[in-house]
Amino acid sequence: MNESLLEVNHLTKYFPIKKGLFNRTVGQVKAVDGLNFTIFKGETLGLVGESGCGKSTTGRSLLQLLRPTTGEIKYEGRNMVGLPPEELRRLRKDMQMVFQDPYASLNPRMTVGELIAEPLDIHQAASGKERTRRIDELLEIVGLNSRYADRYGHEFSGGQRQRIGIARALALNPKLIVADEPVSALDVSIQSQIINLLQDLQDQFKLTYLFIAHDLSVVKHISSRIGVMYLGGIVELANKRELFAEPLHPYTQALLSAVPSPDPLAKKSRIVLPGDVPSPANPPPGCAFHTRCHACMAVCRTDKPELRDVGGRQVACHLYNQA
Amino acid sequence: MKRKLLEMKALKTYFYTGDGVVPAVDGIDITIYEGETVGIVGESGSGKSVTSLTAMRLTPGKVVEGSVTFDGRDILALSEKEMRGVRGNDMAMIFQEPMTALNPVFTIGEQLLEAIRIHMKLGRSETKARAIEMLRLVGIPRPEQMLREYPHRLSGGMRQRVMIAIAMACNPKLLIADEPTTALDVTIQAQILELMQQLKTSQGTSILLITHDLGVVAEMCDRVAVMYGGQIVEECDVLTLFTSPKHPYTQGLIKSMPTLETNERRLYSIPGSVPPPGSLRDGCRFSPRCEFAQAICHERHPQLEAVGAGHSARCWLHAAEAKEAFQ
Amino acid sequence: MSEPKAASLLAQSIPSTYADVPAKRGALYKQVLKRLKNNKRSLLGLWMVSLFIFIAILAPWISPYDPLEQNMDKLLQAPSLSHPFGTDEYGRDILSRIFYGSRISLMVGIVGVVISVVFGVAFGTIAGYFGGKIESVIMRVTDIFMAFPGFLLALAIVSVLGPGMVNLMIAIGIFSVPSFIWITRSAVLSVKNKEYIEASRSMGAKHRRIIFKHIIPNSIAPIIVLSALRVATAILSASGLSFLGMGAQPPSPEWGAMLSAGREFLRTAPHLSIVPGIAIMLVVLGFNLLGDGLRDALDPKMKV
Repeated sequence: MNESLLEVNHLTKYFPIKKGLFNRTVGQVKAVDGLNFTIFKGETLGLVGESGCGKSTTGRSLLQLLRPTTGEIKYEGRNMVGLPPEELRRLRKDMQMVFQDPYASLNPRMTVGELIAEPLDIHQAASGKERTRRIDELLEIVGLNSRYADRYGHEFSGGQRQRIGIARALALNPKLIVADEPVSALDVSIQSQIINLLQDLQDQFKLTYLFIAHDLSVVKHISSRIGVMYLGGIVELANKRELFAEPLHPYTQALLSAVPSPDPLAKKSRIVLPGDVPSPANPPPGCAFHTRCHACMAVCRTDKPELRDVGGRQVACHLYNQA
Repeated sequence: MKRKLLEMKALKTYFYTGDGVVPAVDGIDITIYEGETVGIVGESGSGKSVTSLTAMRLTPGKVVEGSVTFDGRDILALSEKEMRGVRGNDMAMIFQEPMTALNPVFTIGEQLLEAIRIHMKLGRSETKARAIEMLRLVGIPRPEQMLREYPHRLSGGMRQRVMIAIAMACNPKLLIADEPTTALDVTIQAQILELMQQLKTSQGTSILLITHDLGVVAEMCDRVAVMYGGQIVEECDVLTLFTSPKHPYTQGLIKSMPTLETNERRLYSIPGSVPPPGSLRDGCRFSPRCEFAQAICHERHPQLEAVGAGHSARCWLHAAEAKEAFQ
Repeated sequence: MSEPKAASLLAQSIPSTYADVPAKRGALYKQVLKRLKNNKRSLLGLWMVSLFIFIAILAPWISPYDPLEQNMDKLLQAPSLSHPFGTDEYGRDILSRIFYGSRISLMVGIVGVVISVVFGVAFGTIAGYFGGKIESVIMRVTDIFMAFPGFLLALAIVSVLGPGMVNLMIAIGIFSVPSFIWITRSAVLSVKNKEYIEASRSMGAKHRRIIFKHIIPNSIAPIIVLSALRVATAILSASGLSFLGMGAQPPSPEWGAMLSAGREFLRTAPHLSIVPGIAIMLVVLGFNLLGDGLRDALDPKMKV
C-alpha cells in the first residue's frame, strides 16, 4: 500500500442553527457526520456528491478553514486539529486550495503578480528579485505569459483566471492541493484545458489532489480513487475503475445512471431517484439514503450502516453486511 | 413534411452599449417544426440565450435585421398587447435559476393561478383545478398543499417543476428552456429531463433547448445548432452531430468532454479562450483557435453551407466539398 | 409566465452572458475617471469643487482686498465695479471675504470628514470583520449616537467644548462618525465572505493582512462616495453652527457667520446674506453632484 499523506478520522462538522433575540442554538446542520478516509501520497482522491452532501465542508475542514466539531485530521501522522495558530500557519505552506469561482477567488484590486505572490509574501518566502523571478516562473508553468504580471485579474477570461488561481496555489511548492469544483464555473472548451493542466502539474511536482466536484465525468477522468458522499457521509469509496464498472451502493448506482451521456445511441436504463435530498438539519434516522432507496429494508430505517470493506473497497450499506 | 412552428431568418440582435455595438446574435437561421426538440449549444457569449429571448421578443438588445415567424405570425410586427397574448399562451419559457423567476412574496398558488387566469380565462374553481392538475402533472406531491407554499420553501428541483407547471399551464405550442437543469444536481436533472420528455410526448409541445451540456443535448434533442461568436457554425440532427461532426469547433467540443465511457489520460482541448461577444474579426470567428486553419480562414468569413442531407456547417474546409455536392 | 417577471429576469440573464467581457487595459481608477467624465452632472460637480479648491488655495493672490480691512467710508455698498459683491456693515469687501471664507469652509468640511473617516472606518471594520460581542457593543453605541438628530448632536458637542474653529471641526467630525461606521460595516460584511478572503486565509494570512490588503481596498468605494457627500453636509452644518454663533467667531470671514451678520440688513443690503448663501449652496451642490457621480462611477450597482 502507498504511504498516506492525510488521514481523516471520525471527522464531523456541525453548524449551529441560531434563532431569536439571544441567538440561542435551536438545532444543528450536520454538514459532515463521521468521515473516515485516507489520502495517499501522489494520488488524486475524488469526492463527488450533490449539493449539500458536505463535500465542500470536508475540503475546508481539511485545510482548517472550518474548525471541525470533532475528529482528527492527521497530516503526515500529526493531528492538525487544535494546533496553535503559528504551527498551523507553517503547515499551511504544504496544503493549498483551488477555488470554484475564478471571479470571486481573486481580489479585484490586486495585479496578477500580487495575487500570485500573496502566499510568498505571507510566509516571507521570497522578496525582491527572487520574488519577481518566481512570479514569472509560476505564470509560465500555468501557461500564461509572464508579461501579464502587472495586469489586473478582471482583464482575463474565466479560464485564464483559474490558471492564475492555480499558479497562486503552487507558489509555496505544496504537497496537497484541495481543488473545490475547479472547473465547474468554466466553459466546456476551457474545462479540458484546466483538467489537463492539473494533471501535468501533478506529474511535474508530485502533487496530491483532493478533487471535489459534482460532475462525475470530470471526477472520473482525473481521480485514482473516488469517494461518493451523501448527506454528510461517504457511502462508497473505491478505485475509480471498480466504482464505475460496478457501483455497489444504490445511491452510487443512481448517480452514475443519471449522468446524461453524450451518445445519442446509448439507451441505458436510468434509475430516477424519487424526491429530494433530505435536509442535513434533520437527517432521517438509520441510513441517510433510505428515504429514496429502491432497495430499502427494515434495518435501513433504524440502523446507520458503517463504511466497511467489501471486496477491496468500502461501502456503507446494509445490503453488503452479510457478505 | 411537418408544419413549421418557429422560423428565424437572418436574425441579427445587436446591443448598443457605452463601449460600442455588440452583435450578440449575428445572422441566425433556425426552424423548429411541430413536436420537435431543437437544441442550441454554445459557450458563454455565443449568443444562444439572446437568440431565445429574441424569439420571445424579450431581448433588451435591438433586432436590426431578419424575421421571426411563429405559427404563421410575424412576431416582430405584433403589437406589445398581441405579444403578451402569444407569450405564455403559445410560447412559454423556463430559465436556469427558478428562484429568480418566481416572485418570493407570492405563494406558488398565487403565481400559478395568475398565469392560468391571464391566459385561459377560466372560472375560479376551474382555474384552481387546472393548477392542481398541472402540479400533479409535473410530479409535485400534495399539490393542494403546495399552492400555499412560498418559493423559498422549495428545493431547486421543486422550483423548476413549479416553473415548468407555470410554463405548461396553458398548453403552449413551444417551450423555450434556457439551461433548465444547469443549476440542478445530476439526480434532479435526470428527473427534470424525464419530465420534459414526458410532457413533450403527452402534450406534443415543441422545445427549444438552450444548453452548454452535450450530454443533455444527446438525451433530449432531435436537431442541434452549434453556436459560436453569435452565429451558427453547424446544424444537423443529433445523431450526425455526435457521429460525424464537420466543424472543427463541434469536433473539439465533443472530443474535449470527459465522459464516463472514455479512458484516455489526456483530454483533447481547444486552445485559447472563448471570445467575448462583439470581438469581431476578419475571417472565420473560430480561426484563432482552430487547428485546421488555413490562410483563407483568417481572411474571409465562411458561409453556412450544406454538407449533407439536413447538415450544414460554416467552415472553409467543407465549402469546397459543398460546392462539389451541388455540381 | 406573466410579463413583469420575465422582464425582471432579463436584468439577471443578460449580464451573466456578458460576464466574460474583459475590461480594457488600465488601472481601475482610470476607468472610474472615464466614467466620471462621461456623466455631465458629475463633471459639473467636479468642476465646481475644483473651482472652490482653487479659490481657497489662491485666495491671498486673487482677493482684491484684505478680508478683514474695515473701511468706514464704504459701508453697506451695493455691488459695483470696485467691489463686485459689495461691502458689508464694516465696509469690508465681500468678494475677498467669500474667497477667504472658502478656505474655512473647505477646511472644516474636509478635516471634519477626515476625522469621521478615520474613526468610522476603524470601528466599522472592527465591527464587521470580527463580529460577535465587540460588534454588538460598537453598533449599539452607534445606534445611540444615531438616535440624536445630527445637527443637535454637533450643537451639543460645541456647547460643551466651547465655540471655536477646532471644536467645530471635532463636533462636525463626531457627528458623521456613526454613518461611516454603518456604511463601512455593511461594506465589510459583504466583502468578508468573498472567496478571495477565504483564499487568503487558506494561505495562512493573519487578520492584519486580510484587513488591510483585502477588506479595506474592496470596501473603499462606498466610503469615498459617502465622504464626498458628507463634506457637503459638514460644510452646511459648520455654516449652520457659525450662523448660530457656535462656530467661527467674528471677524473671521466664515460664510455662515457672514450670512448671520447680514440678517440685520436684509431689507437695506440683501447682498450681505445672499452672496454667502449662494456660496454655501454652490459648494454643497458641487460636493453632492460629485458624490453622486462617484457613486455611479465606482459601482453602478450601488445606484438606489
